[in-house]
Amino acid sequence: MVELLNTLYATTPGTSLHLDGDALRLVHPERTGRHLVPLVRLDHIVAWNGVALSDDLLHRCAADGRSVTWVTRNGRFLGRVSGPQTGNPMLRLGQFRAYEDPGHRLMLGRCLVAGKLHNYRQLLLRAARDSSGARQTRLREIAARHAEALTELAAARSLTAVLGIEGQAARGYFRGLDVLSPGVGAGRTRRPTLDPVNCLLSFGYGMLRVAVHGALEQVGLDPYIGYLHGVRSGKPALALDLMEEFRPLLVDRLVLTLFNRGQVATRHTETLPGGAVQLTDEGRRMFLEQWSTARERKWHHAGLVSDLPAALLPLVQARLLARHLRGDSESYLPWTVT
Amino acid sequence: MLDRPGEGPRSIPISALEHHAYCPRQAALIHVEGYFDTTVDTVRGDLAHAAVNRPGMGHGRDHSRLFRSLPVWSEEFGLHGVCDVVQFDPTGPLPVEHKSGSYRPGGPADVQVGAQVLCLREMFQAEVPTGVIFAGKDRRRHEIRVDDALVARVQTTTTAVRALLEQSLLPEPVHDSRCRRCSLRPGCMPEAPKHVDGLFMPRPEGEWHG
Repeated sequence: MVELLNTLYATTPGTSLHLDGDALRLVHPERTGRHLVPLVRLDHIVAWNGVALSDDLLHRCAADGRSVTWVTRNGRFLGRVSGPQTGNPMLRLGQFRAYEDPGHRLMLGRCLVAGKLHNYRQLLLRAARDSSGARQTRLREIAARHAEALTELAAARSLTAVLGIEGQAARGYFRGLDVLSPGVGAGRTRRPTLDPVNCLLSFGYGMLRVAVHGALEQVGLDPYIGYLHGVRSGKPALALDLMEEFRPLLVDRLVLTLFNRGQVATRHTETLPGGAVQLTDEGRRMFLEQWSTARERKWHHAGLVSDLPAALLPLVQARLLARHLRGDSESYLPWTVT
Repeated sequence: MLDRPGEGPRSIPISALEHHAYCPRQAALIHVEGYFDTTVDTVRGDLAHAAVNRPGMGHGRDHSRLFRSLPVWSEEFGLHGVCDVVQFDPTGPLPVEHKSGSYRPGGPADVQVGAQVLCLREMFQAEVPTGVIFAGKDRRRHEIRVDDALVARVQTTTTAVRALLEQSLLPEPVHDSRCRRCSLRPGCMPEAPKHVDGLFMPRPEGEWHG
């Protein structure tokens, strides 16, 4: 449906979700009354652990092609079900053939990284415009290095070189996090995250992954066989590949805006003994509300020359990738703004 | 794609003929890629079909026997499908295809009804000179004469669809007035560029709103 449908995020432990006619019924011992959501408005359900779904609801979702994803308290992917497998086996063969062909893999790796570099550059240029002095100079410097990286990318002759260019640009960007949002630390930390910014970034990437993983399955691609990230056991390499172009504007920009507007309060995160920082229940709710609103925001698509809501971008890009892998287009066109 | 030995050519769903007659890419998206999207028009069509989608026997106003959702097939042409309604007159069977919109003479529906008639001819060894389209817009029956020209059109379309199902490429998008009302437009993306220019050229700051 062209209509933008919603993802239901069920975060409160102890909640159970049931099928009630053509609606989803939420039940929690501490919430009185009937809470119904019409199923026709939902295209996806994300359940945090501690949330139970009835078999009836799962069967109905499978029949309608509505997928269900389970994630941990910190938003880490646990598993998903999506009804019968869709798509064309020929497409999967095309996906495998492209993986086996080093030239094709290199070309796709370059396109995927180009999308990410373009969008990071746009984020940096926009931030530079709104700042001044030394901060502006530093932001312009990082953006200039991304411009160089793009040019180097065109000349890259191996996947190792592509990964090197991407890695260097990413390090430069994360070292500049403190200029993008004054008051936050520089650098990227993961497993565990050591400050609130990195904590929100990781959580945001988790939600982005849920969306991209679902989009790939919906068009019939195998999320575990990627080009840039190759094949690693347990890693959804193609989902990670396709996430790259979305990270800057769909996640980083949202997180930085929340910090710059002072919307992230101390009660939203907590520091555990040892220094790991994680979201509190309130912080999780706050971010998901902002994320849901951001999903409706329209973004320009330079290739399709049209405006599309953020929530549809992963599906559109998964389709463009599928079309390319089936031989419909010469090259993969990442989503970039202009 | 290899068929099992002893099997004839792949049987084609009759609905795919109508899709192909409208747009070859639409047929490939539905029957090769397994992609389908709903719009107001398709939902309206489903609702219009609800009355004829309950399989079973009935009687027409003139007491003729009616059969709803009747599976039909043809070994000769390699076709299979389901007729909305087949009316059994003393002269023989008559397929009645229900459409929610208006009837366009010579359009894709003619091919669909033509294929249904070919199946009924073979199944009942009957003449079946015509088929009928009941259009929801004017609530009228439109009779379609299945002559040699229409039979030839059904055959060429069947061959084209069979070739489409065997190969992996999608036909080029038509990108014309047909796309305006097509429910598959979001997945078809007729406007998607085939070539990418300037992907590795830094661009100036964009016009997107922060």
